[in-house]
Amino acid sequence: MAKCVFEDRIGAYLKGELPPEEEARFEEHYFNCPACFRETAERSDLEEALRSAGEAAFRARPQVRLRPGWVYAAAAAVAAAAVILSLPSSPPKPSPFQFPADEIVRGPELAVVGPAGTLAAPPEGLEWRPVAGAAVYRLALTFEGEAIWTAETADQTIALPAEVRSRLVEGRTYVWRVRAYAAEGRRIGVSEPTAFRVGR
Amino acid sequence: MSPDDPGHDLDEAIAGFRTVVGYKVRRALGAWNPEWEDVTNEILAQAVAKVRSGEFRGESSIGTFIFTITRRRIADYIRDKSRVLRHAPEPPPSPGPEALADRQERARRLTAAVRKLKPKYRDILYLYHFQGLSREETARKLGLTPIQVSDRASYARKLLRRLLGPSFFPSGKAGGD
Repeated sequence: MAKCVFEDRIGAYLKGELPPEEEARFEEHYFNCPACFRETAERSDLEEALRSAGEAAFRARPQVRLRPGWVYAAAAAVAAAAVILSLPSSPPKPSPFQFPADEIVRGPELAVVGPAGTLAAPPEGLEWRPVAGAAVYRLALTFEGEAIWTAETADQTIALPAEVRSRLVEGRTYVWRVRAYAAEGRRIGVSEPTAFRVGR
Repeated sequence: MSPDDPGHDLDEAIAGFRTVVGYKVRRALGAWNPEWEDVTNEILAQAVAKVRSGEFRGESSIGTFIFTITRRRIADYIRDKSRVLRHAPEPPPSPGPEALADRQERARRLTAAVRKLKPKYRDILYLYHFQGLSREETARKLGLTPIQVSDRASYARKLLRRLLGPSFFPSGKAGGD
């Protein structure tokens, strides 16, 4: 079967690498070309599932293990960076659902390393893949849609404060998400919500 | 409207675009935005109404016509949402427990399938699809040409399709045709 001339653009489209006019042209094309649409949608499903599976799909790595030295360094950095710690008595405002045009993120989503899935013990920290040009990452850990902890860091990992870890209840599902911001404050990446559960 | 109605075929043709419109809407609004389905329905209803009122004159294909409506509706949605959010911020949309469980099950199945692949296919999936490197960057890392990257990635996807079955890839089902 002859290959569609647009097929080569699918990868760049999904990675957000096409300039806006070309992106629109490709989208118009797949509205008219079932073969290109199927291939685009299928790759999209695959990439989303790979992001959900995380590094674990490629390596035997059940959960994030942070080096003890790193934990202390990160804890100090976190304190210095004035991490916001929220307790149930004074929950922080959840991040607003931002949708202004300048907040729309083009490009690949921020890939999470972990934790995800069922964990034997509360995770020591959260880890994600760095985004080029990111000056700061903002994290939110939520339970049933309510933020229970938010923080920011310039690193690609962050330690969960002991107080937050101690508040994680066995059997509950927590969801966390990280957003990357450039130095001027523009959001340049956002991860998928990632769920983990402690214990059974 | 009866099946003998001349508009019936066109309505059916428009309904056939539900998957592609839904895909584009979810991509623009965010995969977990619960309003994507309503927006998709509005787009399809608008398309039917415009066709019936004679706005579609066949100067472009029906696909391009629906694409144009889709783009405009998404732009309107984003503009309206931005206006509302200035006054009443909402929490970010996030998946419900069922969706999370489904996603975890898919992740488990995918992990099992990926681990069955030869290292050269795992490597290409890791760099090109998981890490999101460009074709050229992936080629440099693996010592391949960009065309070899495309071919190998295509074959790796084909192997995964075979291992996971078509139900694993729901977005493209009955797409736009």
